[in-house]
Amino acid sequence: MENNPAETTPAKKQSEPIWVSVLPEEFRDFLNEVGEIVRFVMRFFREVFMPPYELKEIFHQSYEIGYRSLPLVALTAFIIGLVLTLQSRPTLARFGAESWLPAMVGISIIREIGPVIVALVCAGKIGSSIGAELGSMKVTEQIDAMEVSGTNPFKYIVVSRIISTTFMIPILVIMGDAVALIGSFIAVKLTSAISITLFFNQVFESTDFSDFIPAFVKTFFFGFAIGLVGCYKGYNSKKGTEGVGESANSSVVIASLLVFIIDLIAVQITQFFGYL
Amino acid sequence: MNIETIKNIRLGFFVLTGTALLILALYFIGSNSNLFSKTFKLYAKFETVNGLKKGNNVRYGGIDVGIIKNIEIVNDTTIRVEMSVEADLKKVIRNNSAATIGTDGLMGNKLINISAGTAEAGLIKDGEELESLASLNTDEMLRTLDKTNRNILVISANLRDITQKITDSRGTLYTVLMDTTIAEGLRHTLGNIDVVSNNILQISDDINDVVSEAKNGKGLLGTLVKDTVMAEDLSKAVKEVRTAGEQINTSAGELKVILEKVNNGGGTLSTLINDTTSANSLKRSLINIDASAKKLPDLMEALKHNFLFKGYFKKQEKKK
Amino acid sequence: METISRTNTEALPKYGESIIEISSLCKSFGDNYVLNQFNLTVRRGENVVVLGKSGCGKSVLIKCVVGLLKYEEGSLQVFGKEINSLKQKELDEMRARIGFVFQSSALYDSMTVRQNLEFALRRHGKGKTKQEVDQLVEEMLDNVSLANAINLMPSELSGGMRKRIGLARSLILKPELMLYDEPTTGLDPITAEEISNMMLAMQHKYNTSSIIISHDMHCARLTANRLAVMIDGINYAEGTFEELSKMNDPKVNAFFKKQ
Repeated sequence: MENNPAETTPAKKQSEPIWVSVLPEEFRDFLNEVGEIVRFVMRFFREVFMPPYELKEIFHQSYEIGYRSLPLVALTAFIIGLVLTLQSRPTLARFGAESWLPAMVGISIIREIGPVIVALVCAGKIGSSIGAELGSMKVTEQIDAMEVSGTNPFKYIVVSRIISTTFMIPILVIMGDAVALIGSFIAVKLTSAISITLFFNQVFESTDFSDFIPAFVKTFFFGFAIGLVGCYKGYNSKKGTEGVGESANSSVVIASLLVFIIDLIAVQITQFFGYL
Repeated sequence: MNIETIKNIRLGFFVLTGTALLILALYFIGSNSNLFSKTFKLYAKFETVNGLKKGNNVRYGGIDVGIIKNIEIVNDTTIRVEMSVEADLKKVIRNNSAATIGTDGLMGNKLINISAGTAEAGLIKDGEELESLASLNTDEMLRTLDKTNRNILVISANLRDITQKITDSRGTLYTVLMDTTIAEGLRHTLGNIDVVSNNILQISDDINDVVSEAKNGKGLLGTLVKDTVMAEDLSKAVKEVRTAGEQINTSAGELKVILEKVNNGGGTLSTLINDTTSANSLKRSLINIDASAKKLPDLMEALKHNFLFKGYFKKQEKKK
Repeated sequence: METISRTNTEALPKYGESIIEISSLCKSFGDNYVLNQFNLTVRRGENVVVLGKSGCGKSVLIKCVVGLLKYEEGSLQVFGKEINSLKQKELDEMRARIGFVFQSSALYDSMTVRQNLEFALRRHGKGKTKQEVDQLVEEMLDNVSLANAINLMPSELSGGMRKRIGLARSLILKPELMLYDEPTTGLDPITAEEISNMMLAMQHKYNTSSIIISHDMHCARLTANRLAVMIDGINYAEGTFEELSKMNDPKVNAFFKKQ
């Protein structure tokens, strides 16, 4: 049983295979990093199902990650809904299709804007906080201290956080969607008389399960990616305060990038399966 | 309250709100695509579905009442569409209701329209098949329109040819239509006929008088009775007068028929275009009438000069 | 001071069985061998101070003892069991008998002092009632004279207080063996002495053995029954404070120069 894979070195020095020694050093480092990430993910899946379950910590993290991110997510989503509607109106008006505004904005928000904006905001807020928190825990030996106290730090710190992000981001996205639609409704209301019933009727009339389900499913992957990157970077943080900053920073950058990559893959998969 | 409890309450509120919103969204979208209402299945077979897809709407009387559940190819020319329709519609859709594939708006999604059946047909049951009507295909419509256009083009070309021919050939119709002299000639002839018939009337009166005087034995009756030569002459003259009158009568009858036909138009016109014989006969009739009319004064003159009637005519002149 | 050392050295037989036996221990990071054929034995009731320059691998030694790091060669037996061959469960059971005081105190930032102390009881202290736990926490805080800090967050504590809370936390399971990683580093001399005295007091109160990693000679003199000088990954010299201070070796003398 490994306790600290990042610091475990092979018992005997092995001579490098020829094909490895030929590779440039940067590429070797990159491969090494990829290997570490794969092991990290495997370890997560191994430990997530093995008891004991740190339920209390999962709830605590869910509160920190989910509930505490709500104001930021809601504000961002509201502004995006409002601005998107105001910006789309002139173009639609040019084609005399202003009545399509709720449907168009609704589909944009539910399919793409809502999940991605919320995920990016969370990548910034949650990714950095996890990266920094775990980084400082690592640097100040809190992770070691946990291990010595008979608690599996990977399970207590990493698994609980990744589970929390995986399940909280979708909820935040749903709430963000709702708030963005309200923002959109206010923007439509500013320029034309429309009842909230008619607005939501128009939104949902043009929305299909094939719009909603893939968009919703991919948010779980967003959440998983954000949690995973934050934890990986923090857990493997380098010594020193500089390492903490670097962990936080690279968590945000990589998590944001991953959100877009997952989004791209999700689009391809959705199209491949013919909208389910 | 314990800070931990407060956090848990907030977390619970957060998660429940999110879940509620999720369920709400699923319900709204689902109710839009008929997932949660009671439905029954209907089928319809088409030769082509024009790009109809799973999930497209089914409409009855313009209302969305269901969705397309499945589309399968039965064989090379038959595609079976499975529809899931709201259960309420069982009370409305009849056995002879028909399904057509239509379009939502000009560019919108394809959909199936179910038309109302007639009251005498029974209500449809779950899993039954609807009649299908070949869909109104815009392509086909345009093709038909194209054909119609070409036909109209041909017709209008023919018409132009006909009118051209009428003008160019100066045939009877053109003459009838355009020449004023014929009309005047006709009027003139009719005027003549009128005069002639008046004359005939007078002559026959005169003859009547002569005959009655002869019966009464006045004047030259004796001579008349005895002289057979004279009697023959007289009867011959009377016969000639009658023949002439009959001829005039016939001509007038013919003329009348023709004029009636001309007046009524219709069939006569076409006859006039194609048939020159009637025109000829018209012409001949006019000539005959003219000739008869010219003969009559001669005949009258001959009668006057006949000695048997000399006295009578003198008497007539004296009376005047 | 001398009396303590001498007494301890003379009374060597009174120490119990050896609870840590390290022989030919090797540990490397990359090509850098921080432990190279290291030998050390700790007996029950004994305080051993390991002296060494910063970054020479002293911390690695005690991290190997609790299984935080895996050694590559040699043997490391704690309570008669080879650490590297222990299963996770056995390792956890053994760790419950060891208290570890980290260099940076390693207090959990997101928890209050009370939660920090209770943390180790989550697993090892199962079956204890809330009352017992509260009592234990209070007792430990009393030991380090910080009973009033129970609801503070670690960020509200000074460095010395953190050290003391760290000490209290590692003692809560009443371990048989204490491992101190530079307990007095970064503290002013007065606080350092307070901590040193506290360590001694705890040893007497709970009858623990300890390995103390340090380069603070004052602390070493106060707490050590025996000293080991680690140079280049080996146990270069071993003996009481007095013995070592009188040694004629320049490398060893370098540590005692300040005295």
